[in-house]
Amino acid sequence: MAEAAPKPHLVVIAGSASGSRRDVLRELYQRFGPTVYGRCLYLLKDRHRAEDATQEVFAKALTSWDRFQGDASPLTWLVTIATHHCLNELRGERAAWRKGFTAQVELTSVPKDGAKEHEVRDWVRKLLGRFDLETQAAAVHHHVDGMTLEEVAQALGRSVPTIRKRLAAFARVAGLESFP
Amino acid sequence: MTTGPTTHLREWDLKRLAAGELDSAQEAALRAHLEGCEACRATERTLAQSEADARRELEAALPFEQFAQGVERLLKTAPRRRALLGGRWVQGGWALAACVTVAVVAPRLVGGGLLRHDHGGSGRSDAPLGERHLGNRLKGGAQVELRIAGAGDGPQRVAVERGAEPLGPGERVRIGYRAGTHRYVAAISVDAQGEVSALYPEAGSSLPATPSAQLTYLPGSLEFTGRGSKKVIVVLSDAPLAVTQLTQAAQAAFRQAGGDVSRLPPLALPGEQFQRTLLEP
Repeated sequence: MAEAAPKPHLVVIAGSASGSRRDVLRELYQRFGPTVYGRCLYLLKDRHRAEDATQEVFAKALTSWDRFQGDASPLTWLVTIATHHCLNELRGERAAWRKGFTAQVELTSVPKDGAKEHEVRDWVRKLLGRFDLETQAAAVHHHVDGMTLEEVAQALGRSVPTIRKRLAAFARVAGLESFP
Repeated sequence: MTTGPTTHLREWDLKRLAAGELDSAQEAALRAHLEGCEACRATERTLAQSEADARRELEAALPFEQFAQGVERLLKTAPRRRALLGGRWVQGGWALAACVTVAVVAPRLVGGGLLRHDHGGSGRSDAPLGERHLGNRLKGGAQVELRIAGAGDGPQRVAVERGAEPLGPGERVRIGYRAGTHRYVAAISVDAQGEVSALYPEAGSSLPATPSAQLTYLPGSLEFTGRGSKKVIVVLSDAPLAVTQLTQAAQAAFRQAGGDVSRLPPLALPGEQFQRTLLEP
């Protein structure tokens, strides 16, 4: 999949500035709103915060619209912005967050082989607070989104070896064996 | 088509299939696999159910009109970029384009970023801070300029290199650069509370710099409506820098400065850096 650049469907809307923006937003909301909301809810674990964050993400997306590359994946682009936004938001409460997660992690066991996806995802989320922002983002994109190393590297603008190193560090702490 | 060790499809591919992002060959390959793989069809159903649940929840809590109003409110807060408003830079002031044409999903702003730079006007000496702080040699005349204009047709000015540049209500900032021998450009801001905002780009890595003897302006404009000082940092580099890398370097610099953004040291990053301090209205 990584070798072939997908060509997203294009819809050209002409009109007034405000009218066009509303149309763009509507299309984004309908196509990607649930995915962005789902990502925000996964990371923030609070519906109200996820709703606010979803709006923030789309506002950011609109402001950087002109820099979005036509041959890129809009899904990847929006999920990357959402992940970055939420991780940044959590950074502001990192001390308490990390403490809470540490306590939780100590009380739960490492998922075993064959663990359900949601168990692994829950485990990944609990561990995020122990890592720097880039490792957090890499872990979420790889273990939650299921992106390949190459896709994570492209989404985060880093080299594959760098991402591999970040994920290996995450794996050491996570105690999960199916990491690169 | 990428598959896992068990030859099943990856969820990310299924999500992109559902989002309609795959080309016809990729889509055909995935559908062919799905036809013969119950496990992947089950995964597809699970993903579709999750999507439907999230959609129902989102639309109940935030119907589109309410959602759009919230986004519009956010676009009016700082820092904001006016790309989709079709902001045009014209000599002597700013004007909003009457019309824009945008492409949904793979958009390209038409009409934004038209620049006529007044080379002989209020431009000031722009020696890079990076040269002084980091000992970097000035490479091929790299330069950064923050040009400021009000909402009307008033005079434009260039942000001072030393000290803080006060901003009036509604004033907007454009970032211009001359890359010199560097190949990439990125810009971030750090506010008085140490909050780092990625400006160009907001995710991913540095943008390819336009090689030019003239200043090139990054698209859109910024409006800062917060309070206190804000440092804008432009990094010109020979290799792309990840936004996360820029953010972490800025956070480390803020800590090193003891939480005083006005004393922010150069970020521990390769390349040349240019800092300007803006005093928000």
